[in-house]
Amino acid sequence: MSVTLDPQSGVIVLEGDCAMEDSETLLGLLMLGDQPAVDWSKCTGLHTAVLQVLLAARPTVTGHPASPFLQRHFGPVFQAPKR
Amino acid sequence: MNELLEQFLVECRELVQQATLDLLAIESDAADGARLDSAFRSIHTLKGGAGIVDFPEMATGLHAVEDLLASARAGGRALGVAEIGNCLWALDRVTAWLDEIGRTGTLPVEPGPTADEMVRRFQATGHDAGGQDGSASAPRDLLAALIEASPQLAGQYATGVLYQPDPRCFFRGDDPLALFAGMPGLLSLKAEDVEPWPALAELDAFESNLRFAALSSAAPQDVSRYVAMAAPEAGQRIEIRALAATEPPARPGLTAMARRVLEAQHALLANEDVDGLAGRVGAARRVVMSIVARGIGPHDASTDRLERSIAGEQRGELQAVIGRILGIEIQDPPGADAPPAPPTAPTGTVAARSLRVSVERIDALVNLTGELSIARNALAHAAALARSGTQAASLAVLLDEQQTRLDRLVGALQRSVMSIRVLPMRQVFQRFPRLVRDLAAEMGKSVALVTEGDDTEADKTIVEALAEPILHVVRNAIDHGLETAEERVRAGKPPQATISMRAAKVGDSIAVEIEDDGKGVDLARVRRIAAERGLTVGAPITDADTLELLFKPGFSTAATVSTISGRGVGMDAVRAAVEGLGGSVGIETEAGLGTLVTFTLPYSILMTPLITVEAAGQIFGIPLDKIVETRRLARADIAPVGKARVFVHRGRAIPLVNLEATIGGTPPGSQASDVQVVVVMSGNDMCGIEVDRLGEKMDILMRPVEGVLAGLQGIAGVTILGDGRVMLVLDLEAMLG
Repeated sequence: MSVTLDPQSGVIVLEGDCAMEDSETLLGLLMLGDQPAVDWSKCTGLHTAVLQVLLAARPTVTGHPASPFLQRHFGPVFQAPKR
Repeated sequence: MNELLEQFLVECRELVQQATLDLLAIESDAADGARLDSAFRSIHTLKGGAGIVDFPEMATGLHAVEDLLASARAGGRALGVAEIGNCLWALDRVTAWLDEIGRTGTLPVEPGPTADEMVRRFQATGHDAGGQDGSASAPRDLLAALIEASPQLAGQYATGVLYQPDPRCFFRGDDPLALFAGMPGLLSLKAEDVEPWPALAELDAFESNLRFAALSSAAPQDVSRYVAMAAPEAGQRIEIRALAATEPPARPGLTAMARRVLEAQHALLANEDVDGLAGRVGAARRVVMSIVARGIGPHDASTDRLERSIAGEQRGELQAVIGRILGIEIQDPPGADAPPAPPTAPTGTVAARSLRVSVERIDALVNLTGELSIARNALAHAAALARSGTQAASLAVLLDEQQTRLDRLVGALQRSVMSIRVLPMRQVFQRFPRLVRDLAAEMGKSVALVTEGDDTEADKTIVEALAEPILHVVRNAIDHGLETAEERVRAGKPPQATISMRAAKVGDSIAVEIEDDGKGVDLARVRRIAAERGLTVGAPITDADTLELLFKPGFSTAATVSTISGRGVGMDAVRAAVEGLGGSVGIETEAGLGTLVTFTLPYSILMTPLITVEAAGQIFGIPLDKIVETRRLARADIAPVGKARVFVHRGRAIPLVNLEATIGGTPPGSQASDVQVVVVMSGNDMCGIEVDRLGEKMDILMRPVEGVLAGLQGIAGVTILGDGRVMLVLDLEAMLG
């Protein structure tokens, strides 16, 4: 399982390679809490479906992903102030 | 208003007009790169002007527009309908600002929110870029946006990639992100939603709603090879384009307006023996900094360096800097290397509030002034002869001669003055492409506008006053006359409707025709509605009379009140406006083929031919073109009907009007056995005017009614007669209405 909810902090943690199926888990978690933050600092890869959930929900994303590809092309998208 | 603002207004209005025409041209021909360049130049110059008069909100708003046009130029892509709509919307806001400046003489008080709205509209992308149909051209837009957002990559990328994956692609095991992650030479990647994101609860996590744009430094064929290998199923949904590595945009040169401002400052600083020099230097410095900071200065004028060099109150240094800036060549930015405007580009745009007069016409006036002073000297000579006791007969010959000469000169002078006041019909016609576009879009119809005779000239008053009536007819045509594309196809017509506007000079009149190829006026319906509203009684009426009903006040065939027409202003208002100008309106229609509305107007309203009449000791003028005939009427033939009187004229009972009563007096009880009557006609209404005596025919220069006479009903204007008496010119439209 690479998408988990940290029960202490209430932060959703993306870890390792997140596969297509994880998109549904992430979507469920994002709808559960009160605008939970997402920590992707341990994320080494995202399936497009997972990225899509992030783009649709635009949660507060913390940390820099472990994947340079993700950091370079999507880091600024999530770190920029929300529209 | 200060001179700078005045100049700013004139220039801005022309630029807005030019940009509007360019944008409309782009809309009908997306490939017209020259028009795009021209629109860009206009917007850029507008922005520069706003910077100079210190109107930062306008500059900020226009900067957003400019960005969009710049990205379209850089990406070699066509602007979408929604984007053009946004640009036109922004130009409307600018026009509103200009109107406010024109009204108040100062910059708008609270332009901020509007400017913010402009920026928001243009920053938004895809679905929220104006809400119309951005999606059709959006994949292309995304690549251009990426190029625009990556100036640091200029010169590095060779290939652009657009990819909108199949919504079901995840189920097949596709991962577009992985495709891009492995793409050779990937420089930049951007993803956005195809359809606006739904609420999270409604989001299908397994259905792709994304599209991507990417820039790569690899050659297009390498990228193609990679995609064919890594994602053969992407096939049609991926577009790989070779991009010419673009240079970062060159810094634009000095605009004509900036140059004028700088020249003025340069001249001011040249004089050191003036009071308040320090203040002048300060003001000049601010102007220079403002111009340079807005990127319209010379290439080498870095803001910081310039600021240091003119930091002091040194007049000489500042003047030198301005001189250096002025030393560069005038270059209306930044398309000095752009191809010249195509021959279709409208030329000679004239601001509506100012009159541009050719030098020949001014010269003709100067010559006439010379001849008139010779005539005056000749009269002085005649007066001297009269004083010295010259015989009346020989004096009369001399005076006759001079009178003839003066007559000719005054006639020539009037013609010259009128020729100064003439404007081409283009002034009115050029407003319509935009209006037709917006109205057609509002009604969901597709309409092409064709204009002919744009160069036909008429008096300024007529040309300007024609805009409203034409607009109303065009509205009617789009709203009621033209069918939707489907209806047209069913009727065997081309799906796009055409509205033609033609102007031509016919003798002393100009004819303006507005023709549509719609379904024509539904005469049966007009008859039914007229009957319902009590405008007709019983008897069947001819087609011509039926059409005439359209001009009756209170007539409207609109089944539903739309935002376009049906505002309670009908064709009666059009007829009133055109007749107010001394013209007439006609309408022809053919079922299934269309409707033609014709305005016939005098070339000039300055000269009014009329016949003078005397009634109740006062001289009145009756416009000649309204007079049907004059006749004598036996008193016994006048029948009283209530308070009014009627008589039968050529088988038709028409009212008899007494002028004394019309202007507020009591009619005298004359007992003469017969009366002199002038029968006049306005529109389809006739009446007889009772007069004591007929006078003569003359052409007069009518003045508007002012002062104590202004409230008088039924009087169109006044003029002073040769013997000093004031003549009132009757307003028959008002009298008969």
